[in-house]
This record gives sequence, structure tokens and C-alpha cells, in this order.
Amino acid sequence: MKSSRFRIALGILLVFCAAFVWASGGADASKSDSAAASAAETAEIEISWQVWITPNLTRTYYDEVVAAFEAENPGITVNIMEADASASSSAGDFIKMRLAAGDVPDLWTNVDIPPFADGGQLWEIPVDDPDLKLVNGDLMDAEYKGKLYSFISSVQPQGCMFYNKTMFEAAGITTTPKTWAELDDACAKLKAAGFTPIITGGEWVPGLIINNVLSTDLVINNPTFWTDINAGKTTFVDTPEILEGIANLQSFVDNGYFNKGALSVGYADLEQQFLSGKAAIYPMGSWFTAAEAAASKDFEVGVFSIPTKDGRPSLVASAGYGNAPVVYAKSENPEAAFELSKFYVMDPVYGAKSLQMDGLFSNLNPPLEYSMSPLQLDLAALVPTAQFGNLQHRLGEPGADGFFDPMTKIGQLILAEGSKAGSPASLAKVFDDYVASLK
Amino acid sequence: MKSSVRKRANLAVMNVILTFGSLLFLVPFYITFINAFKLKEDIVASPMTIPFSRLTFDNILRNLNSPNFNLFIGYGTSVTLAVLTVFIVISAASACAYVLSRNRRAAYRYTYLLLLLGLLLPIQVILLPIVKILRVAKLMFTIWGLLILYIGWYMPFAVFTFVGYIGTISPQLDESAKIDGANEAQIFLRIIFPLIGPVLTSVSIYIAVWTWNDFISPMIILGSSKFYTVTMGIYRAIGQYTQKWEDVFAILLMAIVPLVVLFLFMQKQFISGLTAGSVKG
Amino acid sequence: MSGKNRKGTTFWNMVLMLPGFSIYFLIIILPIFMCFYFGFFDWDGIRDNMTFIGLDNYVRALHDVNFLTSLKITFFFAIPGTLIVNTMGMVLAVLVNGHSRMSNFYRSSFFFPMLISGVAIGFIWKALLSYSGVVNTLLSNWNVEAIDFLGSIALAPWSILLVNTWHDVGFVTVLYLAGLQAIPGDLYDSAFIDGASKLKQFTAITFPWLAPSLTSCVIFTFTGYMRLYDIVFVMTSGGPGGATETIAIQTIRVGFNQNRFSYGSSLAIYMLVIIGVITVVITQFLRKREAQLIS
Repeated sequence: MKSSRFRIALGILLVFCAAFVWASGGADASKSDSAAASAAETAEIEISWQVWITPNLTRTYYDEVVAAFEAENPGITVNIMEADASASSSAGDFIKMRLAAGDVPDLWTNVDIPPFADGGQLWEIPVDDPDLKLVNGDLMDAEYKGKLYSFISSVQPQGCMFYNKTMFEAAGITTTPKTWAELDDACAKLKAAGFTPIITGGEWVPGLIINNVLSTDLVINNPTFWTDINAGKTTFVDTPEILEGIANLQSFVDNGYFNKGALSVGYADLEQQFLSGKAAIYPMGSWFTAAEAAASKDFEVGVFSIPTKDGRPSLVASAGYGNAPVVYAKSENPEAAFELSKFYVMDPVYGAKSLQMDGLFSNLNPPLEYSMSPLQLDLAALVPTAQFGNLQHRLGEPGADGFFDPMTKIGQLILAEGSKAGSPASLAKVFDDYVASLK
Repeated sequence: MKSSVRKRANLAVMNVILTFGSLLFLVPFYITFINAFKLKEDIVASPMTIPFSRLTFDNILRNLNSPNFNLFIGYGTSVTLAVLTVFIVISAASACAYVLSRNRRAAYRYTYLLLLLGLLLPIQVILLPIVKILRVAKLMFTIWGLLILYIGWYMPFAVFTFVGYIGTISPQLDESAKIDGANEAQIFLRIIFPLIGPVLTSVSIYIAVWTWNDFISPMIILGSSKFYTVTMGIYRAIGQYTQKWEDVFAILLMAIVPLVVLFLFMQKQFISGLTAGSVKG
Repeated sequence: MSGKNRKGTTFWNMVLMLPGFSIYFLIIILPIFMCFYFGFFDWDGIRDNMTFIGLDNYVRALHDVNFLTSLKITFFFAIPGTLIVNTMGMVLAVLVNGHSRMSNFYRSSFFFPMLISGVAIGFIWKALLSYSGVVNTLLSNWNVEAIDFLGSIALAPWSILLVNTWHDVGFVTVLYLAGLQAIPGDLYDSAFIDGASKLKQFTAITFPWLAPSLTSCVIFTFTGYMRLYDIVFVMTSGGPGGATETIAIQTIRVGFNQNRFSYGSSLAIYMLVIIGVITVVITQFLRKREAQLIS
């Protein structure tokens, strides 16, 4: 049944495997004691940096940053650890595995701060560090439960509505909408002119849409919303901004303003579709401007912020607990790691590059400059109206853990079925149920 | 008795259906293959056609240039894992299956059911506890650790398949060997094992393929060690952010090609192993 | 079975079973116990320590509407899926059993999907079925309105069912083919001499003899559907609006993304118990049938 030739081949293969494993030592050398010993001898500090790879931020880029940092800081060696979207759905998941595995990087990037802070795994940064004086505004804005783990080095507007200027002109829209009524009007005009008014996608994008739509009025009218929710003083069902936001979105879906089959469009595909002129308005975060600057297209892109009820400007922006990478509480070299973190976001060359690659706006004083595209300049003009607070991150107190999930689910439901998904109250109740389930 | 004409007609109809079915099964691969070599506009414009004049290797080349990917380490790791896993699982699982198939007393029945547990959960659920266990055993970030994981993970599948097959081998053979004074181990090695060729082949193929294709476990277990599998290296390029079809198809093709090549190469071996013809009686 | 050498038998049985079973115990049984244990605490997957909260998680899961809905969705995939895949698989195995070149071609093409990992399959089919994907592009070339396979709440589950069936049919076909080899050829010869039709041969000889293979294949396909994750994750991530959220997807989402590892563990244990009980019942039934038919 098995020919002897086959057996010989199998035998050779097995010998090869055994040799491979033997020669490679089977174990990872970088964690061995000898490395630590040699580091101590030469007074070299070795830190590991977990990076989050995206199409914008590639491994090559991080390698450059490390090379520049090591050049400025002889005595510190940085090992990059890649956290990849293909194996972990978030940097946080990657870190959790590392915590279980007992091999934790010193510096973490793109990690959700609240759960890790609650778990006692983050290092508090020194508030009196002189470099931090460069941060615009109050350093303690980034505090989480009274402690500082990172700082806000950039502003990331999320509630942007990018639009195709050519289509707006063709539809006869002369001013950008400031209220929901004006947006409704504009969309009707676009539809009449034969364009798809708004384009959006599936996966996490509906979560972003819901977060922005519901937060625009809420952050102005009740900036301590989460504090009230947690104290039991109000509920989602009782909050008019929530109900109206949901109703507005539903009516837009009912009127057919969104692209068909939106929910099966992936994020990268979505971006491509807008850039190839498939629709007029593209609600998305500021990171889109980086892609827009690099894309070749035959129309100009403008931007306005998601409308509010009465037209007051309110640009929903990221309101987290800092964007500088955070340091592991049990790191052996937290100060060195923190130096790297500061370098990554504050270095005149690489800090600026990081901003540019992700379409961010500097929050330092003086701000880090990079050459902005016309769209980015337009958006920069809106940044002064950026609010600090949104449902996902915080409104007073931090948002409920994992709140993005129910937001995504409700967003998907609304985009799929509009009013048929249920009354605004019934959908808002899902949020209340979620918060209750966490208790 | 059917007339030979009708028989031929039935055969023809069956062949048509089967052919149609086969092609249907192969269409997704056809699409992956041809679109890996097309420009984005062509993919979007007409996904099924092959514009011979506008084919390009660009997609493949662009995605092939990944730093930090040593072909020797990648293939060495993948091959080692696949071969060792198959070898150990086949040996250990067939032995287990023999015992479980021949013994229906309570303890053995419960063991059989205990093996079911391994089929009831997706691996991500127990991955974190496994990581903790391997950490205690000092096997994290080693190939041995990943190997142990694979062996444990594929045991249920192998055992159940073997039990199913061994069940068709008459216990008479066991009895006569026992009378001749053989113990269970000898019966297994000399009599049973040689008779289960077809399932050995199919299970080996499956385990080898699954081990080769897996990248989540290697990423977590091998993580920052200097080892990585071929598939790990390839899937690094596909994230939640990439849906540029020309890139995705090129990458998928690169992930599929080694297996397809091997399959075509070894087709005779595989298929004949599966249809060795009955050796019973 | 003679009771003569019971001790000797048991010794050798242990020798044969121990290597495989001990590794299995370490990798599967132990982690399952750990999950069960974690379920009694409130661990978020991050802290160094955890607080004991007794049965809270397990009780909560019983009222969890999301969990119960995901159970329903998972059964929607599992029951039809298992039936379809095994029926098609058996029929195909019989049809392509042979040594002609066409048989080889058929076998290879049905087997082909198995060479590819679930994730790659998910991506390929996503490229085919998404709203602006290959299938809809073709439809638009023929002036047919595009179909939202993955983004519509009604259609998405069916699309998942289709893709999974496509993937699994080859898997069972190969196993049934191997099972067919165990059937003594002379049974067919005598049946042919007796004038039995192909169909009669199938029901009287093939089907009973495939009973052991049927048991394992049904177990594999059923449990595979019940813990469906990869393909769904890549194609719809459990969406839209939770329409394709299987219990595996939900358990992992709750346990990891929502940082509620202990609660996720308790859901996993429930998943285990439910699938386990059903599978055990099916297994016992099938094994009894096996024993009857083979004897």
C-alpha cells in the first residue's frame, strides 16, 4: 500500500524536520537570560514596542521611526512587535494574549485605555515632565479616573461629511448644510439630479455613523451624559437627542439617500467607491484626508461637519484618554518607553509625519506642521469647533465598556431597514439594556 | 434489465451533471486565479474574463516584497509543523481509535464521549487558557508548543474518523490473533494498522492542509519568536483594512498555490490512497 | 469478549491510548476546565487578579436575549446544513467512486475547496457575493438588478449557508469515499447477479455499510456548524444587525472585544453543554444503529 519509495521519502522528511527544530534550538533566543545579562553589562536598555500595522502606517514606517529614535538615544534599543489586524481584531486583544503568555511589550500603540487602566496594567506618566508643557490645553483633559496614562497630542475629527464638490454644484447646492433639515434638502436635490446622496459601508462603519450622529447635539446639550446615565438620572430612551438622532437617520434611509447594499461594502472598498465618484457625501473620520491627498480623482472634495438640530457647529472628535502610546505598568524601563512614545508623537519630523499619514491635526503648542492638502486645510478651519466628548469615549464619565458594539449593531439595523427596524424608543432601549447588562 | 442504450444515456446524463457540478465548485478558484493577474479596472469591469493583452504580474510582485519574511524559515517551519503533526497524530490517534472501537465498556464509552469535547468549541475560545498552560510548561514561543497544540487539537477528528473505519473491520481478526497469543498492541500494529490505509491517507491530507493553512494559532503561539509559517507571512498582508481586490486575489493565490501544486503533484498518490479498492474478504 | 486476560488487556489498552489522550487532555480538557473555572469570577482578561462572584455569570447567560438569539441562528445553519452536506456527500461519493479519468477529475474538483483555509474561502466568496462583487457585476451585465447577498438581513444567513455547504461537501465526500473502500466488493457482485437495481444496491449494501462513516461525518458537520466562526467572521462579522451572529462569534466578541472574559467563558461553557448534549444523543443513536447494521 505504501511503496518503499514513499517510506524513504517520508523518512527523509522526518529527519529534515527533526534537524530543523534541533538547529533552530526550538526556543526563542531573544527572551533568554543571556540577552538580559549582556544588556546589563553594556548598560543598554532594550524595550519592545507593539505597533499596529495599517495600510497607512506600515512596518517600514515604524522601522524608520525606530532608527531615528535610536540615533537620538544611543543606549536604547527598540524591538518592534507587530500587532496585526489579521490575527487580532484590535491591538487590545493582542496585548491580552501577551499578558497571558507572560511576554508583554513595554510600549503599546492603539490600545483602548480604559479596560487596561482598570486592570492596573498601565503606567502613569509623569505629569511634570517638561516636554508635556507643549501640549495644548489642559493636560488633565486626558485623565481617566483621575490618572494620566497618555496625553492628547493630536485632534482627530470624526464627524466629518466629505462631499464631492462637482456633484453639489450640479445639483444646485450652494451652501453646505448646517441643520438636519438643510441636509435633507441637499440630499433630495442630489437624488433628483441622479446622484447617490450618501455612501456608507458595513462592518464597523455604521458604529461610527451612529456615534457621530447621536453625539453632535448631545455633546453640546449634555456634556455629562454618561455621568447621568451611570448615576441613573437619565436613560437613552428618555434623551431627546438620542431619539431624534435615530429618527433622522431612519428617515434618511427611508428616503433612499444611502447607497444600496451599503452593509456589504467593506471599509477600503467604501473609500475607493467615494473616490471614484459613486456618491456625493461620505461620512467618515479625518483619516480619510490622508488617502484623499494621495488619490487621483477628477473632482474636488470638500467637508462639512454633521449637522445639528439648530445649526450650531459641533464637530465630533476623538475624545479619548490620549493618543501617545501607553507604557506597560510592569515594564522594566518605563522611562525609556515613554521617551519613545513622546518621540513618536512629538518629534518635529516623525511626529509630523505620523500626523500626516493619518490625517490628524496637531494639538501641540507650537503645532507640528506638515504640508496640508486643500481638503485638510478646509478641515483645519473646522477644528476649532471640535468638541471634546462623544458617546463612545466619554461624556463626563467614560463611555460604557465595549459600547461600540451595540452602536454598530443598531447602526447596521437602521441602515438595513430604516424605520422598519423599530421605533427610536425601541432602538434606544437596546443601549439601555446593554448598559444594564454590564452591571 | 436496462438496455445498454438506456444505461449509456443515464451515464451520460450523470456525467453532465457531475461535470457541471465540478465546474461550479471550481469557479471560485478560477476567479481568484485570473483576477490575481488583472488590473483593478479589469477586475471591476468584467470579473470572469481574461483580457489576455492586459495581464500583469504587478499584483503578485507588489505583495511578494515583504521585508522580514525569510522563505527558508517560513517554508521550513510550515513543513516541519505539518509533517510532525501528521505523523504524531496518525500514530497516536489510530492507536486510541483501535482501543475505543473494540471496547464498549463504560469507561471506554465515556472516554469516547470525552473526546467529543474537542469538537464542540472554536479554538479562539480556549486559546487564552492554552497560552497560559503553555506558559507554565515553558513552551510558549516555541515550535514544540505549537506542535503540542496541533496534536491535541486534531486528536478528536482523527480518532473519530478512525473509529468509524475500524468499526468495519471484523473483530474476528482480533480474536484469531488473540488465540495465537498476541496482545492488543501487536494486534493493532500488525493487523489493524495496515488495513486502514484509505482513512490514514484522507486524515493525513486534511491535517496537513489544515496545519499548513492555519495562521491564527501560529501568530499567537510563535508570536515574537524568530519562527513563522508561510501562511502567517502571507496573511499579514490581508487585514480588516484591505479590500483592494487585485491585492487580495494575488495574496490569496500565493497562499493557495503551494497546496495546489503539491496536490496536483501528489494527486495519484492521494487519490489512489483513497480508492485503494477493497482488500477484504 | 473473554474475561481471561482482562488485566493484560487493560495494560495494553492504556499503552495504546495514553500518548494521544494525555496531549489531548492538556490542550483541550484542561482549558475547558479553566474556562468553567473562570466563569465563576469576574475576570476581564486583563487584570492580574480576579474576584469570585459565584454563579452570577451563569445565571445571567440564561436571560441573555442576545445569547438565545444567537443559538437560534446557529441552529438555523446547523440542522439544514448537516442534512444537505451529508446527503450530497454520500451521493457524490458513490457517483465518483471509480478509476476512470473523469472520476479522478470529479473527485479532485469536489475536494478542492478543502485545500483552502476557512479564512481564504470567506474572502473569496466575499469578493464574489458582495454588493459590488463578481456575481452582481455579472448580473448587471445581463441587466439583472443586483442582489444584496451579504448586506440584507434576510439573505445574509442563506449566503453563509451556501458557502459553508460548498466548503463542507468535499470534506465529507472524501471521508465517505474512504468508507466505501471498506465494503467488500463481492457483496455488490452477488447483488448484481440477483438482479438488484443500482438504487437497491445503495439502500441494501452501501448505506448500511457506511453507517460508521455516517456517524463520524454527521458529528463533524454538526459540530462544525455549531461552532462556525471563520467564514462568518470574514464575510459578515455576524452582521448585518446580528443576523448571522453565531454563538461562536458572539462568545468571542463578548469575551474579547467587550473585555468580559469570564462572562464569555460562561457562554462558552453553555455552548459546550448544549452542543455536547445534542451531539451525544445523536452519537448514541447512530452508534447503536452502527452496531445493529454491522453485526
